[in-house]
Amino acid sequence: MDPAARDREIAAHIGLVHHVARHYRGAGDHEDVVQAGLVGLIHAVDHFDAGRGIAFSTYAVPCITGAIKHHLRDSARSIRIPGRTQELARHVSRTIDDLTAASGRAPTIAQIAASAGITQDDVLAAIEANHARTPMSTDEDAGALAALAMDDVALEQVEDRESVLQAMRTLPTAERRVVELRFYAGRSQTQIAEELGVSQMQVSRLQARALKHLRDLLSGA
Amino acid sequence: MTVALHLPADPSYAAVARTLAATIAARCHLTYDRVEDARLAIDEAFTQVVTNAPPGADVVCSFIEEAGALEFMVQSLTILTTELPRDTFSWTVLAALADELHATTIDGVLTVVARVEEPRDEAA
Repeated sequence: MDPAARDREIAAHIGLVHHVARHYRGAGDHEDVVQAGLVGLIHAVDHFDAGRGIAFSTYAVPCITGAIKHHLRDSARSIRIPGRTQELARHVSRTIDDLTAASGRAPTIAQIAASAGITQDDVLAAIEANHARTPMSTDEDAGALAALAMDDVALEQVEDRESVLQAMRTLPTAERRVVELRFYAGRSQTQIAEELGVSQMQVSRLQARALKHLRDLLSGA
Repeated sequence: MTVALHLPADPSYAAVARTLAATIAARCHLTYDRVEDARLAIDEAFTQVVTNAPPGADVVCSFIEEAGALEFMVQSLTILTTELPRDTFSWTVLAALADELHATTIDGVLTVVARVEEPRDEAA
């Protein structure tokens, strides 16, 4: 299947993912559950054989369910953050996005605290917790952002250009996209969140993780 | 207001510098995205300085707190005999995160100074 047709297939069946994901509300971060479900959908699109005479949805739903369950099993195994802190991080994440939507710019820590009814220390704790969260696996990160077109990265200034490009290719799609937008296209985190349709805290997490990964690779660690 | 921190030249202490950077960035009334930029910038600067430090060196991180801006300096003895290279990925990242960025190698001491601020026209 050509890439454009594949993207159309994925987009056309995204509702299936949300439908299945609804059954797992409360079981882990919903955003991550949807991402995992998307990976299942992409697998289904790539492996569906119309010649077998079954409907696409019949084939796709078990793929999506399987991917979500796999994700939940994985994340349950490695959760290190207390439930209260995770809840706090979700609350802070929503508050940041709500305040940004209302005012057109990211809020200060004091504004987040006031609006969320918590202390500034709690907001800072939530920011730390956001970065300590269980990394999603490579496949899961590919989810919602996989269909985005990749620009060629402008790296003329960088001497170790080839090794950077090589290292970039090992990043999950979402992380690579965030690095490109943030560091080469000069977008702010807030703009990237808006452009990709994900939360600002998710963008923070992706970019920090990507930079650490690149740094480790480039330093040969 | 200036806050300073002495840390061993060990990459695992970057987390301490990050946490302090976020706390002070909040006091500077930076917005959330700039707080995250400050966290990443100090992480990157700290790593650069530590990577080029001799064994057993100390790193000084100091922060200047202003309304709408955070300036930090990361400094240590260095094995570098030239300026910190500007044509690396790390420098590209730092330059994108910071509004102002300087690095000097003088008498065996490497200093990286960066400033993260709110856009002036939008500052509340």
